Amino acid sequence: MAELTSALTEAVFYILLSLGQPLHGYGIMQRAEELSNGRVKLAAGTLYGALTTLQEKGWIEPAGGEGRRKSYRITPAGRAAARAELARLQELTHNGETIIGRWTE
Amino acid sequence: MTGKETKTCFRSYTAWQYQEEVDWMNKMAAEGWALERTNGFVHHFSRCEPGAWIIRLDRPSFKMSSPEGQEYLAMLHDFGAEWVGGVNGWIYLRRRADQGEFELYSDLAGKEHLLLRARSQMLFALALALVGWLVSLLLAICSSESFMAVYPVIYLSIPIAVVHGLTRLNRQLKAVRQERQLHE
Repeated sequence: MAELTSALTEAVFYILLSLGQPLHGYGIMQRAEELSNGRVKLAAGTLYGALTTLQEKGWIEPAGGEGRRKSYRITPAGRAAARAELARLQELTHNGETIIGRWTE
Repeated sequence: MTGKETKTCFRSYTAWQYQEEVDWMNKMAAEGWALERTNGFVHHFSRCEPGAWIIRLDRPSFKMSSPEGQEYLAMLHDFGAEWVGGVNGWIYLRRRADQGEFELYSDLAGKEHLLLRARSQMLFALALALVGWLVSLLLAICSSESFMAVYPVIYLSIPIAVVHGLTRLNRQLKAVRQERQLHE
């Protein structure tokens, strides 16, 4: 499992979750919105910047495409990063529930 | 429809005034004038339904003619945005308002990077302005003509204006960074 020293951004986490199947930018935006019940709306500039960084890190890779429009898919390193983030979120949730649950006011 | 159908405005904004420029173009759209094309100084508008378009400015880190720029344009096109012009690395985009909110950056990191790119451009402008001022100062010192002393004084106003803009931009950067310490 990839060791993460800091949290992933919400945009990066949802991009990784969306790329279980090859998708192009707009498809990723739609998938992230669907997964988050409409809460996460990735803007084009944010999405493009994140896709560039994720490719440089080897967490996603090009999966063909038509013309200027590229599709991407997640790599094994990207899956490991998403799993590590999930573990971090679970720890966060556990600690939050334990401590906040004891608050009386 | 009656009256003028097109309008041309001559206006120029500096990098640190980009938000004012966006606000002005959106005010034009709210008044029924859609930005059709621009080179950053000459802005062509055409009649539209008031508020039919949303205008945004971006400064990507790559040239729009590069493969990255072409891919970004294709993505913007998929998002419903149209490229209407560009100047000095800045690009002007518009999207129909009935397609919903139109933001180019949905995260604080993206907003910070946009401000950093604007700041780099301004630091370059400041370096050029200082060189220009130094040259005018040297010419004034070496010249026997007394009127030459006026030029360094005039040229000094340019770096002062850029420093003023940098201060404003740094204030915006600080606000975004403070926000990033709380939220991503």
